[in-house]
Amino acid sequence: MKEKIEQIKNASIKEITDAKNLKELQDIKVKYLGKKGELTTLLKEMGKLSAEERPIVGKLVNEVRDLLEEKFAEKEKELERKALEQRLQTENIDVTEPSKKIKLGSIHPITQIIKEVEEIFLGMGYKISDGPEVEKTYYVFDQLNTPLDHPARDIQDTFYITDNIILRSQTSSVQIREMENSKPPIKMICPGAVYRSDTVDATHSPVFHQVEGLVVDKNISMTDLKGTLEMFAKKCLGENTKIRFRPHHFPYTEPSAEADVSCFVCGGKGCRVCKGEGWIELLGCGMVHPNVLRNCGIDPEEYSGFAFGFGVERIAMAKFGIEDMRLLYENDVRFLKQF
Amino acid sequence: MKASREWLEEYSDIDVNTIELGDKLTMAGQKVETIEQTGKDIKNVVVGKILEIEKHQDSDHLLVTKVDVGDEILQIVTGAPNIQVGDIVPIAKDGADLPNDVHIKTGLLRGVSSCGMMCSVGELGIGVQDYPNQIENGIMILQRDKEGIKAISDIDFNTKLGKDIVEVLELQEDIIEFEITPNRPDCLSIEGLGRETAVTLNKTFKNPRKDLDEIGKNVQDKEEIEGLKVDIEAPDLCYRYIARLVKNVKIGPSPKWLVRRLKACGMRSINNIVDITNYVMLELGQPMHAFDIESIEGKHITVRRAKDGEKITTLDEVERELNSDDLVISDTKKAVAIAGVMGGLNSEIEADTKTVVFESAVFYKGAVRKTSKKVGLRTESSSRFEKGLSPENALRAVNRAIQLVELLGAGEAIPGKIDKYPTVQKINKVKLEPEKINQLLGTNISKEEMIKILESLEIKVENDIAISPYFRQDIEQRADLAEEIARFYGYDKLETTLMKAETTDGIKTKEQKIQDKILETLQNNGLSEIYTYGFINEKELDQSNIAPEIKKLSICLTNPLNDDYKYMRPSTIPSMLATIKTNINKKNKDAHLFDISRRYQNIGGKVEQGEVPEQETILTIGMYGGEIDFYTLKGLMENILEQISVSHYDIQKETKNHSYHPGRCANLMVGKDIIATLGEVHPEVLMNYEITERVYLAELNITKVVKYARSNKKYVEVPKFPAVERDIAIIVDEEIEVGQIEKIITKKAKKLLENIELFDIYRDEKIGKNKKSLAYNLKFRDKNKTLQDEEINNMMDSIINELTTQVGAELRK
Repeated sequence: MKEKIEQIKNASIKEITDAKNLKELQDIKVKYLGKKGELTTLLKEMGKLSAEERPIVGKLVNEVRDLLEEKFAEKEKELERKALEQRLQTENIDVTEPSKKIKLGSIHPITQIIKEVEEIFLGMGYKISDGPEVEKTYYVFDQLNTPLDHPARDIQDTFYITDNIILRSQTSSVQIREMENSKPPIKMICPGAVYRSDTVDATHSPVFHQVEGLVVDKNISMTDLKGTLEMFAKKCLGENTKIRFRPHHFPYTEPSAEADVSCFVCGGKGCRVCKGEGWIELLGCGMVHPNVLRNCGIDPEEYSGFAFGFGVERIAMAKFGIEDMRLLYENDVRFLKQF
Repeated sequence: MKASREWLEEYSDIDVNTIELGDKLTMAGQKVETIEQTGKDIKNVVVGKILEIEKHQDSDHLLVTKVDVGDEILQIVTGAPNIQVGDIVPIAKDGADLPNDVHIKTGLLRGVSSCGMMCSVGELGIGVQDYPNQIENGIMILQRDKEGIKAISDIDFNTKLGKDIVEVLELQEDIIEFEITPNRPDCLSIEGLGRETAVTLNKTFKNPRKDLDEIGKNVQDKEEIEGLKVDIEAPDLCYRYIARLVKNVKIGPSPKWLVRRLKACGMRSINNIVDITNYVMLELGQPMHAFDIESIEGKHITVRRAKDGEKITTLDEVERELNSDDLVISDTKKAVAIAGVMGGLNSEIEADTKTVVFESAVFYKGAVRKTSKKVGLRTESSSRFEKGLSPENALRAVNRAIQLVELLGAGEAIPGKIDKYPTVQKINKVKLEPEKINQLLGTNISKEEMIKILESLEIKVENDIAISPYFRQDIEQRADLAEEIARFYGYDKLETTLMKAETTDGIKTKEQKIQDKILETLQNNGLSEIYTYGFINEKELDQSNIAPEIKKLSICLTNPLNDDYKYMRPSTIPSMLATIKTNINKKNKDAHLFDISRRYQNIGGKVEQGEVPEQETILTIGMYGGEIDFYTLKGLMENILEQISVSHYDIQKETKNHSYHPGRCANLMVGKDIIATLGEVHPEVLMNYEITERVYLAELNITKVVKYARSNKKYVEVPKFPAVERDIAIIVDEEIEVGQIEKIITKKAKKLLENIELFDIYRDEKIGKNKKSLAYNLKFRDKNKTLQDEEINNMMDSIINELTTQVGAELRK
């Protein structure tokens, strides 16, 4: 009996050691330790032994069983580790193969600039407004201190539909609508398409986009205008941007100014974008003309305000390095996808 | 307006270089466009005379010359064919500099030494227009005696050999070109710019024409001079008309100094009398005109409105037709000039003119502008008049012209003037309120400083009233004074402050937020945004099969840029199709595009009633290429609507929108409102555009959809009780739409149906011809209890029953 136990022990240990996978190992376990396993069978045969032999053999069998259990556990771990290693090896991939994704589309550069500008002014408490593009001369000219004999109303510059309906040549019309319909304090910007009778070329387009802004409140001064635009320029074009005011003339503002910003491409050293001058003409602005306030029912003795406006395409072109304005309206996907 | 530094120096000392001067004037409000400096880059170029010309031994086209440059004889090799022995030419000697960074050195040309170069007009940086007898591509011939050629008529270049060319030709000139804003017609003169220069540089304004004020007082008014009379018939269009006469006129060339100044300002010399009128215009800003008195019939000048259809041939020899909006200067028979625009050929100064009438008048700016635009003539004169000139200045100008006539010895002034002045110029007076000006500017400028600035501009301040000089009609109210003060206080000295104002909301409107979401969704779904023009032509509308009832809503421009941009689009489809076509032409194999823009529809004839027309914001999607079909587009639309929380919409087949494929188009409806149309482009439309691929198109009316978007989302509890799922397959006729089936199921299942999914569509002859099998997965759930099998079984039975009765569905076993 003892010999038989020893024989089973040796045979099973060898088999465990040789087991190639978990399945084999499981079979071996059943073969020796299962209900009908060799060792179990041996235990069942113990009844045939003498009373003296029985505890000795019993002990021996139990010892062998414990040993085998331990071996099995050990082997199981080893095989599991091996299996994992093998899996990891087969599952190795080339991470540089092409990805699988829904390709992203793109937002047009003009929209990108407008959104950026909107965010800046929203943060300063401005609302965003828009109005009709096909607009009354009343809103584009009359109310803006641009009388009938003013050159800005020329048919050479403005698209007419009837004598008093035109394609707006500036988004200032939206400011008039705002001033007529609400009371100060007014803080707004109005981005949108405007129309001028310019033939299409690398720097002109009969349709382009403007963002105009308006503030009307008590005690608004020209230094506030300068401060606001400086803040805008820094946020939009970079923290180091400087702003410069030059006197100018617009019928709807007085005093009026043109504002230049230090070139955001070369930082003011002079480059192709700023034509070597270090400054880029960015916008027109000024204090709302008292006649305009009066026209809109706002008392210029009580309130003052400022207004400004700039072209979006110019900024987009300078910022993205686009040299021909026509690209913005040609809509070649190879162009669009770059943004 | 061009001004030479030399001329400006007559008005103000200038102690900075011209570039710096330009910068300072720009910063003070007279914006400098360009600065041209001629002669500056030319060094060591002298006058030389060609003594010998021989052929080069080793070249067919090179010539070897000997040139006398005063103190020596130089050998120069040249390739220019236009020279002859005896010609006097400009010689760039060894070490000479020429414009555009050209430097001349002694060298060998095919083995022959050449000690310099002969120069062309271009190489000296000057233009042939100033030297009409010179050629563009050849050596400048300063003098060729046998043909009588001379670059400058009154110089004998034989006496100038070896002299510096810059001095001899007076090439050194700094010319500044200004952009003059329309409120400053006074700066369309050297005098005005000179005054701005003096104030800008903080110098004394020298006022060289001060004598004109005194002269003005001494010229007697007369009703008639030498039989000439003047009447203004249209005082609303003519504020003042002054005439002075000059007899025994000697027409001839102008002196060099005058020609030079005219040239610097971009004007050509004609003859002494005409040059005087132009000179006065440049100097004082008042356009003038000179008539031959013999051409004025009846010796009676009338300023009147033209007759409708009246014709006049102007000095440029073009016949112009006028009407009663136009003002003319007329004699008893005919118009002799279009007032303020151009003189008539019939009264031109001729070489034999003996008596000249100088006209100095001021016309209503609006009328001059209108006439000038209408006849298509924009002259130095009209561009000044249309800004609004000062009638006071007109008198100074005519007296200055007489002064110049005497100075030039061009004739004898006849004493006295005819001066019709129906509307005396009003002098502007504005109260000076320093505190309010400081408030507006955000500055702290003392009253004394303000007065100092204003007085330097000749705006007098008396008892706190600012009185403008005659030449500043633009200063009408406080803001105008503020600008003058700010300009010379310095815009660059204005601080940057942030306003201390009431807090305001910076929030977007619902429509703006919805647009942002749409933009984001489309970008995330792989579409690229485009920008299109709102213009359109009729052909594009037809090509896109736009319905006649939409087409007729197009808005027509009266002055389109060209025929392609004649209308404002009533539909965005043609713009999108044109873009698709562009991309196909560029061989882009796919393009998935969208455009958020307006369409313009003249509904109810609003435009004719003087009202703004309908202009809705439309999202237009256009796609071709890649693995897309109708359902891709539908999914995209569903995603957008989900993003903007529009949920209660139906999809309905649309067969009558002829821009779309009749079998592959649908409308998205909220109630009876069409919020979107989507589908494949009609094959006929594609043929019109010569597109051979399938193109998918959708239009979503953003303006409309805003009102259906829920802005508040609410949390619904995650279900606690389990769901029960059932699959059914039914066979129906092909023409039954799945939407119809889903509606029946949804209606029957009421609230218990949580989800319905069509997971298979199967067509086979075994099922039957024109039949399809639809397999659905239905998911039921009661949020208050666990559903029992029996309940669902009954539900399924009744659903199947309903499907059988309504659409003849047959359960597939």
